[in-house]
Amino acid sequence: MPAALKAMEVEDMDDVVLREVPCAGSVERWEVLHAFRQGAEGVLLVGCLLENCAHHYGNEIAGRRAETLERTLVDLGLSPGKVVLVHLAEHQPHRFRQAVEAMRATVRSTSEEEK
Amino acid sequence: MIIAERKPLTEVLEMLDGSGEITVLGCRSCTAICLAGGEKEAKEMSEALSLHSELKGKGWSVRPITVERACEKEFILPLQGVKGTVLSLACGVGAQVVQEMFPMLQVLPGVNTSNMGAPEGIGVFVEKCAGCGDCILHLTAGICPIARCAKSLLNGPCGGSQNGKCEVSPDTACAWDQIVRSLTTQGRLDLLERNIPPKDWRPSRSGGPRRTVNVEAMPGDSQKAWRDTE
Repeated sequence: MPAALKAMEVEDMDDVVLREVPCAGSVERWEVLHAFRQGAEGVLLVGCLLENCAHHYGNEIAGRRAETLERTLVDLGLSPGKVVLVHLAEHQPHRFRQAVEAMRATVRSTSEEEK
Repeated sequence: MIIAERKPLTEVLEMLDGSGEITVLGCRSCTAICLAGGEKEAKEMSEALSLHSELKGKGWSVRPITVERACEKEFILPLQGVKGTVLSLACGVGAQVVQEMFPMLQVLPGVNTSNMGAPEGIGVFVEKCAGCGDCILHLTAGICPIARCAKSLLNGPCGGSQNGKCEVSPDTACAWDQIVRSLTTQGRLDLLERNIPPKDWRPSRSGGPRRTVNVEAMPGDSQKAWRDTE
């Protein structure tokens, strides 16, 4: 979360909505789907660095859920790449910004296909 | 418990085509334990269907309802007043009880009901009982060869038993290997000398749907009269 907050301090992040969770592994699939219904064009699940998980296996759970969600969203009619799990540490706001940029690019490139 | 798996989402979407009002029914009993149709899964399915409807202009109105036990009429009263389609994430029993209670609804299966089993570990569920109606667990160290042997053999393993595994899959334990080991532990290997005769399959599926009656539990005349006045 500190990395994301730091990244948000710069301009051009108005289209990003942060939601704080205790662990990436605690995010339920229905919550991600609900975010899309609320208007999200893509969802980044941000977890700790691999093998540095504060809850030991939260990253693993988040990874498996992201894979399931990817399949679900494609079945529902969205393009692939709309749910991405990224791993970063507190001192890596640049990696968060990179992930946001990559997601924006995915959203831009797929928005026409979904119409 | 009853084991079920979620149906592929594409199959569910196809079934629901042409629906209007959709209720996703979750059950907090067996299908919740096997992670196929509990409260979370009902919520997830509801969100997924709503999102699909919004993306594709289906016009569906979707909401989840989760009951304690969908296979008993008393527990599905929260469905009173529901209209349209019910997508049941309860087992096949629950889906049928709901259909029986509310004949005007169209009840669709959201899960594939598979067997009677138990969790082996986190996320792994294994069949334990085939519901044959003629239990022989007292002769087989509490391990059912009907459900757990691929050939349902009654008097020892076949030649496909290798290193404790069944020839059908390296993930499947040989039931008779387990039975022999368990009898050894219990000091009851002499049971293997006892021939188990060909099974009487009449209490199983061969007589059609089974009906079990507990006469003592059935209401008598005065109880019936009292219930009728309620």
